[in-house]
Amino acid sequence: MVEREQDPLSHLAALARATDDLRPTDDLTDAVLRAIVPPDDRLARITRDTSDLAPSDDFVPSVMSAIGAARGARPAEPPWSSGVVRFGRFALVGAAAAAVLGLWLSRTAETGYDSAVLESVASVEVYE
Amino acid sequence: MSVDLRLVAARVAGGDVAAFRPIVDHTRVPLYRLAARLVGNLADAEDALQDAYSSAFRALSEGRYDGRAKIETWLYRIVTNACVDLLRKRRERPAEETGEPRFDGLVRAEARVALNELDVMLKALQPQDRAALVLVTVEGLSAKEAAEALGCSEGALEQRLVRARAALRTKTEAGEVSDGRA
Repeated sequence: MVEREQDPLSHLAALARATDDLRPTDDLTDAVLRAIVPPDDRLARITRDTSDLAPSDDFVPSVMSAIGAARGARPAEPPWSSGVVRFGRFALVGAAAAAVLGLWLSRTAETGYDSAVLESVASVEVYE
Repeated sequence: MSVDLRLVAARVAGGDVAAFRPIVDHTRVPLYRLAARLVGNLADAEDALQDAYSSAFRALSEGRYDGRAKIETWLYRIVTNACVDLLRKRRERPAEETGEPRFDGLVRAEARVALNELDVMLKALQPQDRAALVLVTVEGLSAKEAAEALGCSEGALEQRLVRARAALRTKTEAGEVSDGRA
């Protein structure tokens, strides 16, 4: 530590002497060069440096065992409401189709009945 | 040896779990690299990649892969989504610590330093902007391929790239971009 001199100028001179051999490490040059390189050039260098990234061989067994565990897990039973949602549309369509069929059948039966009655009335009239 | 992964995928869809192994084997290297570059560290990359493979397996088993895209392209999209999700979570919970990578035995020291530098450089970007920049500038995808991987239009991708580059330039001009070293 620099001792404080009475005279400010002498003190400054002492501080100057004490800080005379301040030197950065070589990393400073690298850091400056990195900082002034445009981002795209830095990204290009990073791309080169990371081009041979690869996982170790035990990665595949790990994924396969994770998948096996997922497969072993029993799927949750769907709630009854999902059945209503899934089959409700079919039930509605089925009910509508049954109603149409019923209407058609009753119309057909009615027409058949009417013509049978008319025929029998006509035959009675002919007989009379 | 070239493997037709669509045929292999069809076997997985038919219930053959072991058939998923050649898919992982064939795609793990490029996808590991992609995940690491997207999230900027190996531990998170491994988590995202495992999640992505599990999702892909479920999708194949449930018949949700329609075979229109190549398996590699389809997986690329799934991994990208998993990484973007992870980046979002990391932004929401910055205090959460990253674990240790488990499958990094083959990774060189230079690559680790470069990944750290990439992460520091892109930290402030929005996850989607960051992913767009990495896919195009680092992974070398065309705008069309990158847009497909991100599930957006090419116009939206261009916007993200412009935003990301502008943010990087601003940081560089302000002298904020460090090289990630202590």
